[in-house]
Amino acid sequence: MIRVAGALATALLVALTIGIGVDLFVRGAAGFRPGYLVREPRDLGRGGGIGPVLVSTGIVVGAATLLATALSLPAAVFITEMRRPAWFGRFSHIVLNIGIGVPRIVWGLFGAALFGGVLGFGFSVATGVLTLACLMAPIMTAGFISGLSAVDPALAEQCRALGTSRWATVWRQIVPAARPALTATAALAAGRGLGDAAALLFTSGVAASIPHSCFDSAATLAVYIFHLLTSVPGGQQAAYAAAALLFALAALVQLAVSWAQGEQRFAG
Amino acid sequence: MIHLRYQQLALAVARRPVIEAVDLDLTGPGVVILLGPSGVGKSSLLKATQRLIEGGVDGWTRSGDILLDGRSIFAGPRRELTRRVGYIQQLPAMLMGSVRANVEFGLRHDGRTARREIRGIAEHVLEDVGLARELSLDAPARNLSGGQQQRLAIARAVALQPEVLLMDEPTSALDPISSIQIERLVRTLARERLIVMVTHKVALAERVGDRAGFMLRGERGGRLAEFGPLPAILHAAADEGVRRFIGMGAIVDQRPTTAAQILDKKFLVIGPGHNRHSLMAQAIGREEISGLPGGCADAGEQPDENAWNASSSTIDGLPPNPAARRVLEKMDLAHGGHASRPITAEMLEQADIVFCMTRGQCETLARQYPAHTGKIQPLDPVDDLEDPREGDLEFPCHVAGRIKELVRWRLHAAPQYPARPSA
Amino acid sequence: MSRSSESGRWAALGALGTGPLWAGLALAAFLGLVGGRALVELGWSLGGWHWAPHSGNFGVWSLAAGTAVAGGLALTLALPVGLATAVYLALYAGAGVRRACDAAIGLLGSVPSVVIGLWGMTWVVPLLGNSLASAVIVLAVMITPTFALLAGAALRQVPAKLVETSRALPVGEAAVTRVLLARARRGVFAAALLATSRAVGEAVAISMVAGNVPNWPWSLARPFSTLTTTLIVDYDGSSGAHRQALFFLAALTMLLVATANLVRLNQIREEVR
Repeated sequence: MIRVAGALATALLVALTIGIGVDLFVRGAAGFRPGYLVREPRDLGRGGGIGPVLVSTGIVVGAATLLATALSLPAAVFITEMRRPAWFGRFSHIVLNIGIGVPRIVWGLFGAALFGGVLGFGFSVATGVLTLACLMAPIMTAGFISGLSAVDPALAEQCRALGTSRWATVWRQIVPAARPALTATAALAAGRGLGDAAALLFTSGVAASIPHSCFDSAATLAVYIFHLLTSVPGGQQAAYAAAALLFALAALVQLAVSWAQGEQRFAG
Repeated sequence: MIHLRYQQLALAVARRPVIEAVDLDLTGPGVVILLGPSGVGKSSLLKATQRLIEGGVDGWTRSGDILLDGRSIFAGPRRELTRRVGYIQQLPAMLMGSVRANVEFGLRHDGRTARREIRGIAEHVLEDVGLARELSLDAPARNLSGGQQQRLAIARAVALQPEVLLMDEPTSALDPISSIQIERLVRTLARERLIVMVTHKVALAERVGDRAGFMLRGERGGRLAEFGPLPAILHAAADEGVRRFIGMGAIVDQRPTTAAQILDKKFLVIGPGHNRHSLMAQAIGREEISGLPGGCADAGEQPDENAWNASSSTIDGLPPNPAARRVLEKMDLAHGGHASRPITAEMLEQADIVFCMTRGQCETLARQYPAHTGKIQPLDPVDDLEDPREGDLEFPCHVAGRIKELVRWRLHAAPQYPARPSA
Repeated sequence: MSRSSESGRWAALGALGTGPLWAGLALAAFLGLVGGRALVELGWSLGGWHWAPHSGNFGVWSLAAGTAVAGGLALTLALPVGLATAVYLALYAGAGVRRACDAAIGLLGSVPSVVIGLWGMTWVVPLLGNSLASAVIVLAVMITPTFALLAGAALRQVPAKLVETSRALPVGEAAVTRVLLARARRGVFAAALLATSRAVGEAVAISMVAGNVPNWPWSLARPFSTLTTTLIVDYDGSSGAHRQALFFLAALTMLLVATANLVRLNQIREEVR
C-alpha cells in the first residue's frame, strides 16, 4: 500500500518536472528566432531579443558570486578553525542558519533601503550586486564550512606532525583539498542567484539595457521575466522564451554540480 | 645518546582514562617496540610524545611528564619539539601534489632550511627510502601504493632530521613484501635515531626491535605491564597477561592461510544459551546464507527473503520451507549444516577448532569437556563478544557483522586485527 | 613565520571573516529598527482588520492570515506527497530509478520561482482563477521537491542494518516504514520546518497567481494577499506611512521565519547530541 502511494507521489513529481520543462520549451520555442540571444528588446520587450539582459545577468550574478565568495571563504575558514570561545561556533551556526532562511524579498527591501536609500546608489547594478551578495553569503559560508569540515582530519594531523603552522596548513593543504566541494557550493549559490527575482526587483531594477557603469540600473533575466508578466500587457509570449532560457541555465548549473559530485565520489 | 623518558604519564579524555601512570626510560639510537592489543592506548602514548595530544585541548587531560634529553617536551613552543621528534601516522595522509611536493612542504614551512637547498634535500631523502628509483618524483602522491605511501611518509618525517621517530603501526595495512621493505628501512634509520614503534604483531617486533614495552588493559586505562629486551621477554615474560598475549599471537600467526585449508577444517561457533531461538544463531545463519559481503545489505538493495527463511528454518525442530531448501541446495550446503543446536560431545569431537564468544563460555566448555580444551579458544582474543539483547533489533546484525569480521581475520590472513568500533 | 605575525594574520582573517555574520546582524538590526519605528508611529493601525493603505488602514491581520492559510494548505499537500516520495525512494526503488528520480526532483526544486509562477499563470489560473487555490497549488509545487529530498536524506541516514533486520522479521511493510520514520523523525521534522519557512517567505510565484487583493483568505476561489506578496506589489511607489507599514510586514515575516528556523535548529542539535 505504502509502496503504491509512494510510487504515485514520485510519479507525480517527476511528471510535473517533465511537464513544466516541456511546456516551457514548446511555448518558448516560438520566441527563439535567430539572434534572440544578442539583439536588444523592442516594443517594451514583446519583441526583439534579450541580449542586454543576458549581459546584465552575467555581470550582476558574476560580481555577486565573486563578492560573496571573497566574504564567505575567510568566514568559513575562521569559523572552522576558531574553536576557542565555545559559544562562537554555536552562535555563528545559528546566525548562518537564520541568514539562509531569510526570504529573498526581505533581502530585497533591506538592500533597497540600505544600499539604495541610505548609501544612495538607488536602482543600480551596485545595489543589486551588494544585495545579492548578502543573500548568497550565508548559503555559501555554510556550504564552505561543510566542505572544509569534510576534509580528512588526518591531513591536518599530518601537517601538525610536521610542525607546519596552522595558517599554512589551512591555506596550502586544507582549502586546496576541499576545492571540489568549495567550487560546487559557489556554483550552486550562483545558480540560486541566477533564479532570483525578488531580491533584485527593487535593487538593480528593470531597465533592459546594458549598464554602462555600476550605477546604472540593469535587469537580470529573472527580474525581466517578472516584469514582462506583471507590468507589460501581452508580454507572456516573450516571457516564455526567456523563461525557457532561464530554466535551461538553472538546470545546467544544477546538473553540472551533481555530475561533478558524482564523479568525485568514484575518484576520491 | 638520545634519552626519552616518560614520568608517571597518565592520559584521560572526557574523564575516561586512557593511560594509567606509565614510567618508561628509553635510550637511543635503536628500536623500541610498544606492543599490546588494539585500543589499549599505545597510539595515544605515541601522539602525546609529539604533543599531538595535549592536556586541555579537545577534552584531554594529562598528568605526569615526558622528558627529552632531560627537558620536558611541554615546556617551550611545540615547533621546537617537532624538529626533534617526528611522527608517522598509521595510514599516512597524502598532502596535495606530487611525491616531491609532499617532502618539500614540510621543509618549506619549517623555516630552518634555505630555499635552494630544499629540492636537494628532498631528492636525497627520497632516494634513501628507495622511492626515487621506483617512480617519478613528480607523480601525484595519491596514486602511490600503500607501501610507497608509507615510505613517503617516512621520507617526509626524516627530511626534517629528527632524533626520534614515532611510528604508529607502520606495516599493519601492508602486504608482506612492502612490509619487509619498511622493516629494512626502519633498521637502517635506527642506526642514528631512536625509533619508537607501535604494533600488535609480535612477529614483527621480533624481527625489528631491540627492546619492547608491553601495554595491557588496566582498570584505569592502559598500563605498562613489562619492558625490557625482546628475546628475554618473549621467552620468559614475568606478567601473566603478557604471556597470554604472546601465546595468542602465536596461535593467530599460525592460522591457515588459504581457503582450501579452511574448508578442510570444521569450525564450531558457539552462540550463547544454545537456544534454538537464539537471536545470535539466527543472525549468524542469516549472515552466512545470504552471503552478503561484509555484513548486512546496504539500504535500497532488496534483501533475499528466501535466504532469511532458509536460515530460520534450519533451526532445530522446524521443517524447512521449500524455498529455503532450494536456496541451501543452490549453495551446496547440506540442510542442517549450520543449524543451531545444543552442544554435544560428538560435535566437539568432530570439530578441529572451537570458537566461543566469551571467555566465560570457553571456561565453562573446557570444564565440561576437558578432553577438548586444546581446541577451545575465544573468537576475539581481546574482548568478549556481547550477547545480543532480546528485543533490540539492531543487535543481531551488529554482532553478526563483528563475528564475520573476526572469522575472516582469523582465516583469511587479513593483516590487521579489526579494531572494535568505539561505542 | 614568527608566532606574532601568524596571530596577526588570524586576527585579520577574523575581522574579514565575520563579514557575513555582520550582514546578518545588520539585517536583524535594520528590521528591528524599522519594524519598531513602524510600530511606534503607526501603532494601532497595524492591528486593524483591513489593509487599505490609501485610506490609512494598515491592518496586517488579513495579510498574516493569508500567509498562514496559504502556507498551511500548501503544507498539507506537500508533506504527504513529499514523505511518500521519500519513503518510496529510500525503501522500494531500485538504485537506477532512485538516481533518476533524485535528479528529476532536484531539477524541479531548482526551478526559479518566477518560472513556476509563469507555469501557474498558464496552467493553474485558467482552471482555478487568480485565487487562494491557485496560490496553494503553486506554493505546494515549490516546496515539495526540497522537502522530499531532505526528508529522503534523513531517511537514508538510518543505519541500513536496522532496515534490514526489521525487514527480515515477519511484520509487514507498514511496520518497517513505521520503524524507519520513527528513527528519522527528527530529520524529517527539520525538513518540514524548512519547507514551512520557505512557504512563509515565498513572494514572487504567489504574487503571480494570487490576485493580490487584500481579502481575508476564507474562500478558495477568491483572490487574496500574503505578507510577502503585498511587499512586492506595493513597494514601488510607496512612501511615508505606507512604506513604513511595508517594512513592518517584512519584519513580521522575518520573525515567523526565524521562529521556524530556531525550532528546527533546536531539533537538529538534539539529534546530533
